[in-house]
Amino acid sequence: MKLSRRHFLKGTAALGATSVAPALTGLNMAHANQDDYKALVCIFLFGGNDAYNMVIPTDDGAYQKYEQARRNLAIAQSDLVPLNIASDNGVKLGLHPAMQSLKSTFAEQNATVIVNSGQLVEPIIGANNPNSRVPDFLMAHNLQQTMWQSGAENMNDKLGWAGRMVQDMNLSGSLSPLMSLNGEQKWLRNNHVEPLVMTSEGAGDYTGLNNSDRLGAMMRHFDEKYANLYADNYSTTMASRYYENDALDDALASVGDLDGFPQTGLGNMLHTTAKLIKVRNAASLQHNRQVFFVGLGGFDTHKDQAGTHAALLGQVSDALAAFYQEMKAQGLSDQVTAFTMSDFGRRIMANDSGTDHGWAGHQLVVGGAVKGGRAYGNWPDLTPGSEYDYNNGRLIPEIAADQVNATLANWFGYKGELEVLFPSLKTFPQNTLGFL
Amino acid sequence: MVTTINDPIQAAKFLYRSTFGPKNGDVEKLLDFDGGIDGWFEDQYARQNLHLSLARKVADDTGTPLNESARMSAWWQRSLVGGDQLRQRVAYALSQIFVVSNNGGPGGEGLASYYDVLVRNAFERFDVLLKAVTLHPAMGQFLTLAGSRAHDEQNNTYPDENYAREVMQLFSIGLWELKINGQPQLDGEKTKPAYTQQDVEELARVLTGWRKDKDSDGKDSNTKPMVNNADWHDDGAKSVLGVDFPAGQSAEQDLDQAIKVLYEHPNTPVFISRLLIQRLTISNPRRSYIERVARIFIDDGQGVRGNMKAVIKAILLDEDLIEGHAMADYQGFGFSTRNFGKVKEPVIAMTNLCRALNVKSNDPRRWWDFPGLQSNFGQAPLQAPSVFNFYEPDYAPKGEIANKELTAPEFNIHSMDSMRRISNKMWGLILSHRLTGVEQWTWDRSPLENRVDKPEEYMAWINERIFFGLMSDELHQYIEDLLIKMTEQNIGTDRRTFATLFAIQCSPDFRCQE
Repeated sequence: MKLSRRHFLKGTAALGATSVAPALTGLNMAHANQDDYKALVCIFLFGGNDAYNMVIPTDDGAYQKYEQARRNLAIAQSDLVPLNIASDNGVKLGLHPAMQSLKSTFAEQNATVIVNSGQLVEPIIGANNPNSRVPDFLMAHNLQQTMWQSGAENMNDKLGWAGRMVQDMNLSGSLSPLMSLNGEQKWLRNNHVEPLVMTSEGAGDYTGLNNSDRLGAMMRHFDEKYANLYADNYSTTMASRYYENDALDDALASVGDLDGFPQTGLGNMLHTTAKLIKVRNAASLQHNRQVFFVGLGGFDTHKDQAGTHAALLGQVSDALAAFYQEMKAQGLSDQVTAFTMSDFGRRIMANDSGTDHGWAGHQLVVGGAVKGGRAYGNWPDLTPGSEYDYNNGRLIPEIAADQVNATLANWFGYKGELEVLFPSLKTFPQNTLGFL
Repeated sequence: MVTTINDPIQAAKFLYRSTFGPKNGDVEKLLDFDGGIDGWFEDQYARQNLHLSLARKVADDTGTPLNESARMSAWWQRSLVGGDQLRQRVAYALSQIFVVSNNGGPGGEGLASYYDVLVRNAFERFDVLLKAVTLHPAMGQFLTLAGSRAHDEQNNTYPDENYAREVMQLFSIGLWELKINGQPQLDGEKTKPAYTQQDVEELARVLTGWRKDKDSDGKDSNTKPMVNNADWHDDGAKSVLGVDFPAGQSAEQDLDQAIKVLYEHPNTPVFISRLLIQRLTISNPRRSYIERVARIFIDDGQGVRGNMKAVIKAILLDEDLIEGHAMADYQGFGFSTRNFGKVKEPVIAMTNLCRALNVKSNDPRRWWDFPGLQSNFGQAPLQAPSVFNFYEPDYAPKGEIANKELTAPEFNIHSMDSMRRISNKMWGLILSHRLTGVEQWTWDRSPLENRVDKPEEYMAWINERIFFGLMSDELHQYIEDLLIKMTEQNIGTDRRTFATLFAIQCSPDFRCQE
């Protein structure tokens, strides 16, 4: 006879188990409201995406400057996927040929490109100030990832911006509405509720716990107090992880596999994300807001970039397109916004067969709430020595990452001061951009 | 630094830090060692088991390619049964500082060869270690130094900055200027970056010109040190960290000078010492502990800088370890006893259990990766997701640890998923006493079966063989009561041994170390 863990949970009281439900202590609890539902989905491209080979100008003039700068890494003009959108300064844009699958989403005006964005602590382009401050440790992977996740001026803050954002919101749920399918991430850290960190497999069995002796024995450790810091915190961690797994297992049990997702790492993560959105009203979730972190590594293409990068972009495009279709099928496309982030863009000038760390890049934003049909931001002059050239083709961003982040937070329903969430915004003329 | 260890409790704690976990008899051996603790260190320094040759033998014997499976076979055998435990344990710690990964690195042969660089140089001078790491083709591939060449006007290409950046940020000096006790040097209230982007670009020029050597079959070698190509090297004048590199130096001369600059940089002793302390002993060392080790790094007493034998010894024999003192809450002065210790790395918790139970491979030719480290433990040797290793050195989980400004890096990988998978693999190991499959492992349960009706003897065996005397009174009492209660209910041997062992392996007592 196979017994579920649920039975044991109820049946082990005699062995001294008590409930350590992972409650949202400290968060203002509210009931899930279907109409008010929204989700943010961050797709982090780890390693520094070569965004200037992801979004490429289709106009002859701008294309020639691109080709001149990129030489043997340039994508042929005839291979580009035209998007019928233009930057603020009128440059028509296309996608890398591996990203054909996103074309229709752009055509439906439910996707856009944020052009030449990146980490800034104050404006540089157009500021005419030779002493403009630049962020610390540009081009260092982990610190730049941290800046995207915490805010350009919040590097020393222990919390991420999504985490700080939801602390001020009325979020519902018994399991955390902050979820990562790609490891523990600073973006989600906050003072109230631990993010739920899982893989695309969701929950699973504790194979040793198919017996009440052992379940009771493990639960004894949950409640024990320890004089040692690590043992004490380990005890509560093991309890939370166990109960999270159990509750998540229950929630996901009610939804089967969804159609159309590619069998790739990112495809699987967005597939599970879509399932968690679908079961948001399950008893163990009851989420009126959800924040998801998914990611894909391998973008640090110092060498042999061409084939590797094409495969990665194809994976991003196919997974994102499938996710968008599924959101439409669930009738939620207006309520779910997915967007990319990456450590940094790459240098325009190549290394031998790859590219080095740069600064500015482009971001994709996908969802029914996106005001598509156009791109946001100016296409920069790629000529060496232009005002955009920080050094040797590392481009200076014109749009601040924090402006993009603030736009997302604002759409998500954050009612606090955006300049508190992102202190760097004080130096910019606009807090938010109009893409949502 | 202490000079003797003559207390069995201290000896057991020492062995948890300096090896992959004590085995039956290890504590007594250490206490009785000829020449005392110094003798033990000298004996360990002299031992050395390599991985590549063993992986090659495994591949030959089983008619398989020298792949990751063969490399892991060598890793398990060296880690679980090798006599050079200190060297192997330090090499594993070094593999989490000088990170190379199968994720972007070469296959099993190249990685086993790279691991051997860490094994061989674990007790060398730091500059020798750093140079060997830099020139190994696995590193050359992983951080793309192999093939980096001088700026080419014609093709508009530049030197690769990847290795130049990470060798400073992660392998030597770190991001910020540090005092000798690990605190940041402040400029007013601001921390000071230890290097600039200009330094990265200049060092990238210094390091141009290296490529993989060729094997006898004409293919790029993943085991021989890289060689240089004079044409690719930028031989102009450069300046890195304020040090001039004169024009006209060869790739080798430039490399040697760069290694010297990093080796002699004032940050390197404290940066490397703190990382090794965290990997081997405790998560939150006091500033004075860090400083004592860093000073030994600067001068081992004989005027030698970066003597890794002396550094490792200073880390493992520090007086704070004997006293049980760690950083106070909020990084205050004084000390805390509650904050002493660490969460074990999941892989180390597994090796601890394997060595305690004297686990054996059923295949006389080799060890298969029965626990499946990478997909189940959140970490595996030379399989990190990136050069930033498995966890952030300053990671603090939400709650008490973060609130008190302390760190516990290993919590970073104790996610919902990995904790369940680790539990399942530990359970698999407990059950393996009855497994006979060739790719499985097994252990001898009979000592427990023989004692299961005699709770006192049973508990004595557990405390001595699994905890080496370090089992807490509370856990001891709980397990004993559990055993007595199950025995009174006429529950059979299987259920009784399984329940007690399951409770032990997942206990915070076992998964953390002091």
